[in-house]
Amino acid sequence: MSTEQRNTRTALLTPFNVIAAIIVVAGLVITVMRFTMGLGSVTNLSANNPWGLWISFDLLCGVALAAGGYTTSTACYIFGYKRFHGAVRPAILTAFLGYALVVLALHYDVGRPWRLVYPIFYQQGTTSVLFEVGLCVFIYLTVLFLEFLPAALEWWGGFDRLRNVLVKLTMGLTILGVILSTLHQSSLGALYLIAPSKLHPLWYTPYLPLMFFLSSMFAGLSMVIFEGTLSHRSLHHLMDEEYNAGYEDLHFAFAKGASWIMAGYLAMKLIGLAMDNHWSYLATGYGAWWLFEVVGFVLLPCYCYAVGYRDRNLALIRVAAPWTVLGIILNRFDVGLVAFNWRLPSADRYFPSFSEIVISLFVVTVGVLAFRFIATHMPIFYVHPHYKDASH
Amino acid sequence: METGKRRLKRLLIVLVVGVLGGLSVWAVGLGATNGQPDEGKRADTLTIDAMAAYGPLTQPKVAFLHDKHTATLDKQKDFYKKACATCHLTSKEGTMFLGFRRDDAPMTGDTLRETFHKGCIGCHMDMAAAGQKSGPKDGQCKGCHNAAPDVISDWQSLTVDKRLHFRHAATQEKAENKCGACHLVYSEAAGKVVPVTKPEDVPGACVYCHAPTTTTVPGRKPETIRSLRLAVHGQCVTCHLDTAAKGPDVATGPVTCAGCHSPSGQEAIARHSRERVPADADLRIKRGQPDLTMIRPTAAAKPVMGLDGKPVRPVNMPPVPFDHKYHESQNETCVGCHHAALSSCAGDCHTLRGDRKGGFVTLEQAMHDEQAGRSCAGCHAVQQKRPECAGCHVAIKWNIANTDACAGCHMTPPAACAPAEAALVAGPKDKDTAAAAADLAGRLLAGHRTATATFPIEDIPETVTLGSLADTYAPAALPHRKIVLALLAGMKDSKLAGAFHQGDAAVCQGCHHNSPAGKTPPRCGNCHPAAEIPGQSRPALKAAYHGKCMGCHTAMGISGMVVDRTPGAQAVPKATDCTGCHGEKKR
Amino acid sequence: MQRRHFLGLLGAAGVSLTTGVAARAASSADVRGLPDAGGVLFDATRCIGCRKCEAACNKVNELPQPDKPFDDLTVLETVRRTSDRAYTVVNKYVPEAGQPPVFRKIQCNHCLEPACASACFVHALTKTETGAVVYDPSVCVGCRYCMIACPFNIPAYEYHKALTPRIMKCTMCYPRLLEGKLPGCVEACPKEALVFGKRRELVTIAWGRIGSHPGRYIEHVYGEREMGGTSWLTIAPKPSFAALGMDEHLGTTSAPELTSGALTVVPAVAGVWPVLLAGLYAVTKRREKVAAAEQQEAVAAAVAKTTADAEAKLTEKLAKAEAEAAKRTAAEVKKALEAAAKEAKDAKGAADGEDA
Repeated sequence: MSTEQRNTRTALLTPFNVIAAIIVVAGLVITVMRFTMGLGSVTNLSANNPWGLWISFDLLCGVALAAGGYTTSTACYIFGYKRFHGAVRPAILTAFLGYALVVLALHYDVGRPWRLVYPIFYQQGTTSVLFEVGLCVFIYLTVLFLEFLPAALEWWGGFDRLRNVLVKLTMGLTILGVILSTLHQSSLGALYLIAPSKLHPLWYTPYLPLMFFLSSMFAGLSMVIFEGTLSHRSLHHLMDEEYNAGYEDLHFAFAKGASWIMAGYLAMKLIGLAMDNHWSYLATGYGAWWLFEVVGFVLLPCYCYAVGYRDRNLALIRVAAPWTVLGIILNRFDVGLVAFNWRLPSADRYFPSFSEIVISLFVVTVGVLAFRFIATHMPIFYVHPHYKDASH
Repeated sequence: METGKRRLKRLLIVLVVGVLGGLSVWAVGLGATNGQPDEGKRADTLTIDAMAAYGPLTQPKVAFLHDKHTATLDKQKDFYKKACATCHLTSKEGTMFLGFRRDDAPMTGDTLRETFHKGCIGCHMDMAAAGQKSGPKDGQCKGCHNAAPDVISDWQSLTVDKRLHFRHAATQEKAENKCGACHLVYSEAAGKVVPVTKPEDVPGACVYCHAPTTTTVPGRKPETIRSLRLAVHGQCVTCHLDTAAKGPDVATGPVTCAGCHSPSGQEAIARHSRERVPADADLRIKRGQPDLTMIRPTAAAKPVMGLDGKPVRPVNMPPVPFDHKYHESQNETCVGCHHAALSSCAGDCHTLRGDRKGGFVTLEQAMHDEQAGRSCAGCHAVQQKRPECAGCHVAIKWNIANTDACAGCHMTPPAACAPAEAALVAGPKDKDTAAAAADLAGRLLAGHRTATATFPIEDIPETVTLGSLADTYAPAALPHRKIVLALLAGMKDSKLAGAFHQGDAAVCQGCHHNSPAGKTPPRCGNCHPAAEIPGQSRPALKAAYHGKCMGCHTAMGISGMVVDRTPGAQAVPKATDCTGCHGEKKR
Repeated sequence: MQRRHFLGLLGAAGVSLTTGVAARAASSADVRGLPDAGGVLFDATRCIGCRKCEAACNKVNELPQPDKPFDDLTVLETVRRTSDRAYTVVNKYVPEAGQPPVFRKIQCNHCLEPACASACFVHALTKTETGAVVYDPSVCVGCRYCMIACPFNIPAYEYHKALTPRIMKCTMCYPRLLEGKLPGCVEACPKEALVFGKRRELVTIAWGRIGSHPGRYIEHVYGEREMGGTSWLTIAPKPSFAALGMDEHLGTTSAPELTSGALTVVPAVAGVWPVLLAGLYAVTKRREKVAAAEQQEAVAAAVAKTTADAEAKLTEKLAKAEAEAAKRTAAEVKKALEAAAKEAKDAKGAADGEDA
């Protein structure tokens, strides 16, 4: 064995790779279990709790956190912030992988995943909000794929005509992306409108769709900042001038935007409480938890974003971004798991099983590995030398 | 950057302080309303809220424990020299005023407040100065004005039942005016209440005149009628005290609140009544009331004149012969039926058309409203809820359209009696007609059954086999005769049952309902279809059987219990014990 | 900044207005529903908790045998719910201590506007004319949104099956209804606590029973209006439905009405967003164009100014240089002339010296 080979082997055995490998193997084992022994063998789902961790995390959080795609491309192409152009491809990649993983996770959660296309092509249940979610996610995944494809084609080489056509479609795809994102982000919240008796009054409001939509916007913005921070640390060598030039500006601009939207979101939360006169619920245990979520994970990061922007404090912004992401995850978990079925006795409440947690980790790990592969091989953080002039 | 850090710190401090402050306020609010454990139930809690008459109260009402004060002060003779007069003034005539240290004269709010404060707190301070444990003093406002006092009242109202009345009447055996010792009546001539002189003049129970609160009758002298509480305590307690004053061994009634109004006190009264009233004593409260009478509306003072110039003959429902004596024996007081006065219901208040005095309750409603406990039908309905009656009667609906039932009370007189009745109806109601009414009632009730009877025993099938639906289960063998005899045994002492079960087939109708009464009632399947017909409210045959049988067992409370007296008898099967009634079919 | 932001805020305001209000614009037609649909009336005063309905349901629907047989009444000591092996269960409740227990049968209520049917995105659950809400396992994807939607927590799922899991819920014995037979549970009940018939007739019967026995029943027919009305109606003895584990706070709004507001936003967004976004884009583009034009103008002006300046400078310098040169020339000339004069004088002096 040559030194080179040995070096390659040890280079591969990084701590991250080892852990990722363990998770992937465990995930594959559980996958086999799920498809041979049924959902009951790998989840703690029950008749009272049909939706568990996979829906709350992989679907609700996944879709919310993949919102960076449409927010960044909107900022760049519709609002004309040309200097963010370098951040578009990473954001699109994050979003595309995010949505792809949502669909992957759904294959685990749904009883008969091969029928996932039935509602779109076979029999449409148009009265259902879930139909609208499914249709929009299906189309949006296609849109994201088409927006991502140029990078892959550039890497693969030899598909110039197709690649150029796709690049020309960018504006249309972006607009379509915003429309679809508005629809399905809000519809994920609208899913819970149908069960007012099951969701705690502090989280149930007719404004749920608006809440989910607003929070998806600052979730996306925060994810872009967060992902950028992480990528900078490990993939800095891939980042080109254009990316780096706009990098800090992007963080400031997105911090400002996120701060404004979070303020609006907080206002809506208060209006929601006032409209139904739910103030008395704040004095309960659930009220304390609601305050923890809203004050601790929306109000405070909003303030940090605002202060960070005003004082040009990048470090504060980079703290506020994962904080906001955690807040989004907490909010989706609250709606889906904590505030849902709040009236049931504790013996009937749900907590994810170990296998469910492993699969969720597995899905995220697969996503991170895919991101790493694509980012290190394809022109994501840099502009491909052949296409320097053509890309816009 | 620096400014940013500082501002962030400041915000965090504000938030933490705010959260902690809010939590502590919330915790304090929670803890504030936790009361102390109660010190036991008491019957002597009086609420002093006399100041309410002068405007909205600025302090909570005072919960005053009367017995506690009298009992404690009894041991402190220095402070209780004048006994009741320590707190209660007496009128010129010797009647004790029941208000605290005041008479009936009107006073201002300030004077009243001063009376209470000086009187109560003053005495407390005096006792405290003497080294005695005492009540709240000056400045300890919440000691008395406690919005949430930890006393639980087990005060019960007292009913003077026939035994108690007998015991009281016995004390007046040697008196000339037996009733007048307790029963007073308002005399316009005298301008006040005076003792009655004859039993017939007793207006009846105190509640007829004395309302729960003091009432004013304009034009009356005096205008105010004391509240029931004041009147009763003024009469009873003062008499008990006067009797007690006669000597230590003189038997007298209770003088403390708990003595009459606590559960233990009332138990003692009941016990003494049982012990001291001879078993064969005639407990009837005699006031010259009839033994038998005819219940009828009062003839109109001015009869309606017809077109031919002659008065129109009123055609009313036949009057009802009524055994008043028997009904008296079934009630503890007169007030159970005569709820407002002892005079005739139909005279002034419950006229045929309804009158303001009667609350616009017509005579028909007053007699037949089965929701009202004091109407005829209402009281009978209460009796029908007893377990021995409920089995059948839970399913029998009072139905005014069931006109056959009217004749049970509104007896059409035989031809011989008809003229007498006509005269009675047309004439006034007074002492002279009372004798005629009693006579007529006696004759109408003569042939009336007073005990339930049915067909001869040999005509009652011993076992009835219910097999038309037998499928999963074998036919059911119903112990028919045993059931009928058990039901009859349950109502053998009931004159009410006897009065209303006049025909032999009456008791059969409990199960054999909604069909012609007779010795051989039709099979259930004649009306109840074998299979359920959607949308129909009449149950199908299976449900008819189960509903009737299980319904009766549940209403009588005999499900799963042994009621048959014969040795080795089986328990009545529970509703869920299918094979208890019909065995499993062997395939 | 102003214009772009303003338009963006307008859009957000529009979204908030449309999503917050339940839209009634779906149809102005008066929906009569299914007037002859069947239903079942359950009278809790008649139920004795014998579980014959559970046994019949199990038999008719060929469900797997339970762990404890149906005549084992000890199961009533625990409160149960429907499961993937039991379309219906009977529970025992003791509303007032010391009073006899009251039993209640739980099964799908076959709502008039079913939440499950409206929630299903493949239309696997439908409300039939018979009144029954039936399930089609041949299209079901297994998303279990119907279980979320059902306010009565009825549908159960076969989690133990890997490849063919189904939603399991009462079908009101739909195939039997089509044959004119009664649902299995209704036929089996010995006390006729369950009565099948046209729903509107059952409502009349229910109120009739309440009226004929004043004081016995709660004066309410549960299911008459709850969640928009259900085909399964319940009347119960006092004190309350809540004492029987029934939710008294469900309200009368049907589930589809709760989500119809959100769904009406979809075409609005699809229609308005392109205009809005294109407008924003156009505004942005215009600003850029104007900015670019202004920049060009400024550049041109700067260039012109610089050129003019440079030229002026040059002319000035040239003039100065010329003057300088002229001056120098003059000085040189003067110097040369002086030198020549001096030379001439010297030459003349020498010549004069010889002569004398």
